[in-house]
Amino acid sequence: MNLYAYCLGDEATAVAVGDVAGVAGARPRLVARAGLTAVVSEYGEERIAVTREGVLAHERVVRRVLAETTPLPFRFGTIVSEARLESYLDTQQAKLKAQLARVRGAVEMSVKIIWNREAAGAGAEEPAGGSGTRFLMKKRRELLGEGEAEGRAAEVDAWLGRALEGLARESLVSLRPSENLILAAAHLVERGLLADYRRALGRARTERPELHFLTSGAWPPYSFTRVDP
Amino acid sequence: MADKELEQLLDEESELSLLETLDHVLNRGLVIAGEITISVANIDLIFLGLNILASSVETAHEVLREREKGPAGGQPDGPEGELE
Amino acid sequence: MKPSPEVPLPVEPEINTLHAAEFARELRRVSETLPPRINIDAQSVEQGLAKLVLTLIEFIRRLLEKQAVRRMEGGDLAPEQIEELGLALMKLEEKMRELKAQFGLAEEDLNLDLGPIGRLI
Repeated sequence: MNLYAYCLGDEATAVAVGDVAGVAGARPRLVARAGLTAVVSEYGEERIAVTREGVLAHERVVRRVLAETTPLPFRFGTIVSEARLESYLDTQQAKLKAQLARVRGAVEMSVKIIWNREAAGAGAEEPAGGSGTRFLMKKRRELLGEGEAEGRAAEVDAWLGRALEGLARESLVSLRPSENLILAAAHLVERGLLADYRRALGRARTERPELHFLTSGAWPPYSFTRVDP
Repeated sequence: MADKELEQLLDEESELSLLETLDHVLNRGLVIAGEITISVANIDLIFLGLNILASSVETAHEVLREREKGPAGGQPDGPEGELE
Repeated sequence: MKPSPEVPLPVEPEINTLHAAEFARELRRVSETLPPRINIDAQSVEQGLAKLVLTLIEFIRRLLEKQAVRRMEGGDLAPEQIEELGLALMKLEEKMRELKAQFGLAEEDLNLDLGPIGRLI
């Protein structure tokens, strides 16, 4: 019998998780070791497919903990034997405790920004020359567009940073994670500052009508679990 | 007509909610076993999430495909012979 | 000794946007570049490796294109050289299209997630 692992906390994570239905309908429980507390449930298989029910069950359990204290969430699909979990806690305890200190009292908020694809510029006149030359000219136009896009992303990133000055303990920003997304940001925000953060974000949105925003949260600090910056 | 629009709106929002959730729980978070991290000069450069691979976590395609099947649809069969 | 309780939170994450369909489209695209699965049965091993190899070739191909444009801008290439260079890169792009089709791979399939650095392409 394996364990499905949801999240990790320390002694403060004495949350009643048993009343939430976990993955595969199993009841979550706590495993305490090395000054850490893992939230797990029994799981019979070696693997798990990404299904809506599974993902929502995972989130439901982690969220139950998040309501009271900030844990380090496991990636969806973390399945281990009890022995493996215990050895993980034993060997990684220092790093994990440091990570817990990093996120203590805070939650993750997300901001994603898109711009409207502007109408493509009118087709530039084709230069004279063979097909090879025209090919390179086309590439040149595409690359110039790229450069502009990168510049814009950097500007929006800087602007957002200023708009949220002092409200995020930490920020992790990914510039242009996909073609139309200008940036995707994760902010680590003190629980007590959430209202201020939301207000600042609300104001900022109105300053940039040409940008489309998606904000979400609060999330468990999925983005803030890696040790390196 | 209005009902259909509302239904579509709710669908879009719940799909978005799922996608946003996936964006958090699939690519980030703690990983215990089987992650290969290749580092240079103490900086982690390449992460191959073997735990994901070995756990045969399908891509988000599966979730969305399943969603298209509707609530009555069962789980799609996984491909054969996966790497343990 | 339990530390003072943290500020409690509502259970559901709020998701706030005026453009649900647009963001759903983008997030779907982002989620499609998850690390590819390595399967053990013969056909998918081939495809898994093909994906990896083609991703690297594609990466280099794009670097070559960028470099060629830079050289062209630099003004040190004669018109015939520009033409030759363009034709060769054009053929390379065409060849990559064929290879992708041969292995049933779409443009979005060719990518590598490099963790905090982001994606390769």
